[in-house]
Amino acid sequence: MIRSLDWRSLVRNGNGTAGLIFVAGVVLTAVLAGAIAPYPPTMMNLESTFAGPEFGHILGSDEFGRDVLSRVIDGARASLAIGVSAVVIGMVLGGLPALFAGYLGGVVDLIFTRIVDIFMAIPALLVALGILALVGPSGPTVALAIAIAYAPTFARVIRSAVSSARVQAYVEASVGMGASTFRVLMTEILPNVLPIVIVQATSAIAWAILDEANLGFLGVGVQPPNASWGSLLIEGRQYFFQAPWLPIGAGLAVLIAVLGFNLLGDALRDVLDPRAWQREI
Amino acid sequence: MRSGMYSIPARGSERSRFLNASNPISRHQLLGVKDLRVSFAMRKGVVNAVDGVSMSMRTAEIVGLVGESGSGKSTLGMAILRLVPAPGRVVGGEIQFLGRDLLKLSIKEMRAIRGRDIALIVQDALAAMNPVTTVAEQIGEVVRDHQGGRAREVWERSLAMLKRVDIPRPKLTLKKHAHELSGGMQQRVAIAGALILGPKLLIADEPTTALDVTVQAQILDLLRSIRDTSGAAVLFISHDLATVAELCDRILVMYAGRIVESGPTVAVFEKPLHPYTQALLSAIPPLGGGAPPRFEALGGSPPDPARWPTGCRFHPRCPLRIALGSPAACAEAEPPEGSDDSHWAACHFQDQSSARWQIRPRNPRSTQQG
Amino acid sequence: MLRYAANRIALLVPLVIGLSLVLFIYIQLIPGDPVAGMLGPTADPALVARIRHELGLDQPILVQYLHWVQGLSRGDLGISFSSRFPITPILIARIPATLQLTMTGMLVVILIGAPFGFIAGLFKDTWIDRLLSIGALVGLSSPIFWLGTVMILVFAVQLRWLPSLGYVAFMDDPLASIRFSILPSITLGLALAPYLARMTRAATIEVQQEQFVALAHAKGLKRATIIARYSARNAVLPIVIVLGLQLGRLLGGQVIVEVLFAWPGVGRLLIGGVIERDYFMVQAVVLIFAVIYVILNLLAEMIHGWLDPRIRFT
Repeated sequence: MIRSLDWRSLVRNGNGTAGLIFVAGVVLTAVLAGAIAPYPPTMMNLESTFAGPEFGHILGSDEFGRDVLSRVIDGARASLAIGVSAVVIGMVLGGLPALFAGYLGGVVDLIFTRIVDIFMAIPALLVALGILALVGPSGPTVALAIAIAYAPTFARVIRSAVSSARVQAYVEASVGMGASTFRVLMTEILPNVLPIVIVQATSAIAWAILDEANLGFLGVGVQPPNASWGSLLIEGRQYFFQAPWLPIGAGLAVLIAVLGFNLLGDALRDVLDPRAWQREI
Repeated sequence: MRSGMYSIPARGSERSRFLNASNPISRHQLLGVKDLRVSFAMRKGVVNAVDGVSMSMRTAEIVGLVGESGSGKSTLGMAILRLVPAPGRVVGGEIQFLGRDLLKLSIKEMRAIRGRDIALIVQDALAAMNPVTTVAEQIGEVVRDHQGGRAREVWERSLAMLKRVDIPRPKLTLKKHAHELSGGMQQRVAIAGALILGPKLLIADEPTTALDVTVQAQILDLLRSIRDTSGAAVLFISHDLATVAELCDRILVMYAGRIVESGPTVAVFEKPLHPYTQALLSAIPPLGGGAPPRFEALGGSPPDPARWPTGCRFHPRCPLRIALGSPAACAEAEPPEGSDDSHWAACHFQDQSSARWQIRPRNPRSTQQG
Repeated sequence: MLRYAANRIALLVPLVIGLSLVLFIYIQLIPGDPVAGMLGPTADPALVARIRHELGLDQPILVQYLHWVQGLSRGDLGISFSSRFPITPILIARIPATLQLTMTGMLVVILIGAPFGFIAGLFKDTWIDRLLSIGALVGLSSPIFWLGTVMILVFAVQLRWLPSLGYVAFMDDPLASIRFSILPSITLGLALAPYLARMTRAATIEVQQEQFVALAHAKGLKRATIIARYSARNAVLPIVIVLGLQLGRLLGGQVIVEVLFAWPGVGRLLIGGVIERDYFMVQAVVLIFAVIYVILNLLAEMIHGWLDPRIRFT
């Protein structure tokens, strides 16, 4: 029950504290990017092309002499936005039908489960790649592609949570008293499923940020001149032998963000749903 | 077959020489537990599951340890094996076994005693067996790890043991997995595995609770016959007084981490001294349609193990205390305990208590015999 | 056992049909026209229409689907947009390299993930466990190409122990083939091993709490016996199944590793297809990956059944 989420036990959980700090840091960086970046992210200075780390440019400068730190800070916006929106959209796409399938049970549930199984057979990264092949890469399409790729996983997790919540006695009782389907879903099922959704979503943001970077590496991420961590990493890799420090900042940023969400997801799982590891797919 | 569940007097004459109280040869002390304390460090506080228990057992004696769930009876059993599950820990006392204090042994010495001198069987025999190996492997590995031996010998010994516990088609059973056996067969296999090295003490934690009544009777017969032939003592942990009455020579009643009454089975059943024991006995429905229970069901709920009541731990639920007008001693002083040679109860007012029982005879056996 | 396997394999047919349908629906659901996308926004509409007609894209959706499935049943995956060659032979030429990397990568995942996870589970809540758990978390938070780049820098560029990029077929020169596959396999394995380690840890902890483990101690069995025959033998069971489900990540990671190490597998074909907007090619490769996934999962299920005597093959 999310209302009873025990923040104290979350913080007492060492992972939880570390995760909260990392995540808060990344979110703040993204929100305040314009204010804390030392330079405008697209400001070029052709005299300092490929300059190494130095005073004023602690992560060095790129092929156009742009300050790498400023670009990494700016990239946090796109990466975080893609990660979060992909998970939210994916939850809606996968979760809503799963809510009804799990609740209705019977043949509907069976057919739904089979369909999800088929979708699950296609590795998520490949689904995203295939979609981007058709619609072309950009920030929003990357988010959508990741969302569609993750939807089957979310559907599977939510369906099983709903169907186990449904059989609990008080749900039966509430149906017996003549509550409407909608009402039962909202008042009985959702509060039981929410903790699992939150745990799943937190970890999924970590995967989504990682997959954004992966897609960026494969050349179908956010396109220049916009910066995301994925696109910074691929830019950095092109000039790897001239300026090996270029991808360090973005790589660290991805590591910190993903680690933060993973730690937080683990801690939430411990606090909210101790046996959920079996559901991790 | 026995005629009823409460057949102690009828069996009295045919009981084995091992438990004949007048036979001094059989009265060696096997186990002596003194002031044993087991604590669990839980988030809500320290739980003293076993809180100062002293008891003893002699060779070839079957002792029943009864109590509600949460009374600490299973923890006591596991503590004797030094296998209290984390976060539990033995924090005090001693466990004398064949002249050695088990609590002072090294882990290696203790491992040698487990399975060889002290064996354990539990309620859920299926869950207690490794699901992925055969019966032969599970019995054989006990022999191999303790004594070694060639595969052929180990196999022969296992086969003989299965025959000893009356398993039909033992050769076939050896090749089977636990899930392929019936509940009764699973428990027989578990007993075979426990007895293969000839232990001197068998700790049986509710071994018949999960079984059908007929199978239950067979397992009890088996335990008795093992004691009669091998001389192994059995600590029979149960919440079921009927089975305990049928099987055991002596009864220990446990409540809130302590032993509250101890005595020979016949004595305890005929004249329970502790109000708690009386309540337990009166909760058993009489056989043969006797008079309905006149003692009220025990009120209140079992005490919180993190905060045992002061004084006599039973006092908040005690009907006798109310009848006596709540004397101060009950809540203030710990009642004295007796020695295992006699019938005693940890109650400040056991004279009044036994008198009450006299006034309202609720012994189911008396109705049966009448 | 054989009959069980045959039954399960027979079930693959409807699954592949389902997969083809799913893939097809994906493509229909997504806005945009593949031909227009491939030729770019400045393309002549007449040319677009002609190519659409050639490829049968102007026909009703159902006809298109049936046409595709008909082709599939003959092993014909269609024609590549960009090269105008049939896809099937191109794919078949690439499959051995991909399968080799999948297998060696999987091997590394198991060799690293299972023992570390098992040790962490056995020593739950000790410093060993904490160290391994944090290591696993950092591992699964690092991008796979990042890991691979570091491997190349250290072992190929600096130490010059191993070749950085490329591939030699096992049949041509087994020794060279192995040398070339070490870095890609280890990269793939290191990136995915943390998942297995976490699963193994959880499964081990679960098994440790089973009553039969407590009883094994009560029987005075040796620690080695308990670890090998009780903990490990039983923890393996859930791990095999989860490993099968984790294959999706492995196959996804494989695409990245193939690109990073210039490994001539199916994955690079996919990326080529994506960049050139060759959507028949993308469709075909994704289908192949899905079939590999399904077959390996079937394999995992059969290994599980073989390891767990409680499962009857019927």
